[in-house]
Amino acid sequence: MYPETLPDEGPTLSKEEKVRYNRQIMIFGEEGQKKLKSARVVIIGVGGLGSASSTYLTAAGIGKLILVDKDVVELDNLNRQVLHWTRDIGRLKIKSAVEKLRELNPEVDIEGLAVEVNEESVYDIIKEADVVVDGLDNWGTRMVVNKACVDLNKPFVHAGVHGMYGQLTVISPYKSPCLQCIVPTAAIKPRSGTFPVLGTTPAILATIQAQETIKLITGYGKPLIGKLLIFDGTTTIFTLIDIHRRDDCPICGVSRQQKQ
Amino acid sequence: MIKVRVKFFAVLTDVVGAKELAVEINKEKATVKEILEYIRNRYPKFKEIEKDIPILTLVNGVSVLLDEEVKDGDEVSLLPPVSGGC
Repeated sequence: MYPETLPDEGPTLSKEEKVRYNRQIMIFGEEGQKKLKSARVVIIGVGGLGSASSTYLTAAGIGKLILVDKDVVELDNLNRQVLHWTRDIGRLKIKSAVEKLRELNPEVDIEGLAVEVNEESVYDIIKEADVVVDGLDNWGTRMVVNKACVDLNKPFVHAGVHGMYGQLTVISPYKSPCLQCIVPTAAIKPRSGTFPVLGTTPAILATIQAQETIKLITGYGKPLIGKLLIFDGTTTIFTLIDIHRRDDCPICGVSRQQKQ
Repeated sequence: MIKVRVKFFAVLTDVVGAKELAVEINKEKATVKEILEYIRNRYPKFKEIEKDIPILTLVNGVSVLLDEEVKDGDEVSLLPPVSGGC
């Protein structure tokens, strides 16, 4: 998924960086930290999920973080989108987020894109990503990102939430089921309008997304590939179920794979 | 007659009041649709929640469409994949 070893001309860690990341270097070594430093991560959506994932990925020292969101901060976002504060109401979410994240960790190159993610724009948005992180709020756009990730062979760390429930999986194209395999279109009914969500739900799922992203990049641990994590916050139960690819998947199924 | 295990996740557990049910259908073979019909008939709240949340169906861990055939001894999982995030 990510180069096992970095080229000789790979990044070096400054004295300050070695101190800043000391506690996690104790886990995956300076080599792991250098991999994070040379990685590019794209987070699509800077809402409830994106607020938490971007914060932890910034703190962890990802080399380049690209945040994508075209919306502005609204009052009813603030119970869960903790990167945006009362003073940010009316501002672009990417401006509010980038400003705080740069202050959290000036070592990280953070870029904000206020663009709509659609079938045309998505390829440009994710083309340089090593990992794409889901911070979206609807299946339609998720499926657009899913297809682009499969087409460009980018790992996609999916999460979705509702109320106190959520699910998460890591999509590794052609190795794991893609989002279309997991949620075939016929099973999706369109949802619209506002949905209930407790702020802690996206935070729980998104910190796991950040963790999975770090695992994918450093090669440390075993990412949640081929498994779907189901979170029930009402009983605080996490369930893991094995999931499998669909041969007839129109996005990553056998016929498309043969074309690859 | 076929007997399948139906497992429920997240909010569906509350709706049915169980994590798992043994469902017996008096036919040689059945489809996922028929299993769902069986549950809807016995749990009116299930029918209600379907209006709000799409139900994802897996047979032995593979996500399937409603016309998928279910055999004796299969495990059917019903999940409510949720779409929020922002």
